[in-house]
Amino acid sequence: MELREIIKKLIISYPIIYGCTMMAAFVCCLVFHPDAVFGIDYLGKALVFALAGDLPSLVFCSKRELSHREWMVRQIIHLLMLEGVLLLFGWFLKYYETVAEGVFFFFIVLLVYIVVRILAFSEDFKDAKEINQVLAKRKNDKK
Amino acid sequence: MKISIEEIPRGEEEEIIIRCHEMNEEVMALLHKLKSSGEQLSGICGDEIYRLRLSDIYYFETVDQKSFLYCESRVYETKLKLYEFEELAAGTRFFRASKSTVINAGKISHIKPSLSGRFEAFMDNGEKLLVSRSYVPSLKKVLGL
Repeated sequence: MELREIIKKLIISYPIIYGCTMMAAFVCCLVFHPDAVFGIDYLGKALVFALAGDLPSLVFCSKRELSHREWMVRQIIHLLMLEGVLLLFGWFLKYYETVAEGVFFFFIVLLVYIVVRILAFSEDFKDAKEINQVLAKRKNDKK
Repeated sequence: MKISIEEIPRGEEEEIIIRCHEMNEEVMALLHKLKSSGEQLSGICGDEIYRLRLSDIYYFETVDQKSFLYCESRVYETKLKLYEFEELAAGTRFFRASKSTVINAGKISHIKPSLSGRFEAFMDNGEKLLVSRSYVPSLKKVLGL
């Protein structure tokens, strides 16, 4: 993807990541700190955190078309960068304080990542099915 | 739209007359389609120049500043730039599939989503091409979806 395309994608995904951050914080607090009270600064921190989660997508930036293998490698790098950046920011912003909470946080991020990929794939699968139906119909009409 | 076909004697020249209220987008697209259906392109293979019908081309690709036309079993080099080919093939079954390729949807056997977030298009001649997700709407459009 070209830089312009990536930036467009980053802008679109930013509010989605922000919403997911809020949901993840809600689940974490529900499990570890059910009595937690947040100040207004929390909203600002979440904005920074969402930006940190958005920027690793720049790893997909390329002037030429990536091969399947290159794409998969970048996908793995993206996941590792995302985990690293989010764990780091999560620590600084005190989203988690103990190792156990950190591990839980790591798996929450991984789970969300996998769910998003599965949802995207199933959406693509639906598109492919719809397209294949038309292609098959056209081939049959030609015969 | 009403379609009338009139059979004429062998000696007379064949013609298509479009009777419309105005030259709107639909009519222009139809006109373009009619004009380009018999369109021929020049393709270089070895030392020879061939005339190729647009409908025989499977896909167009640019590699290292060079452009190529891929037919069923042969590849021809062309002087056309990607945007020039796109303009030439506008209104036909060709669609932009990635940064460097324009594919003939009429030659696609089927497509499959890939885990890399893109689609693989399997051509009638067995070749496999990549379709970026951002260009899938273009494919849907040429298929009338």
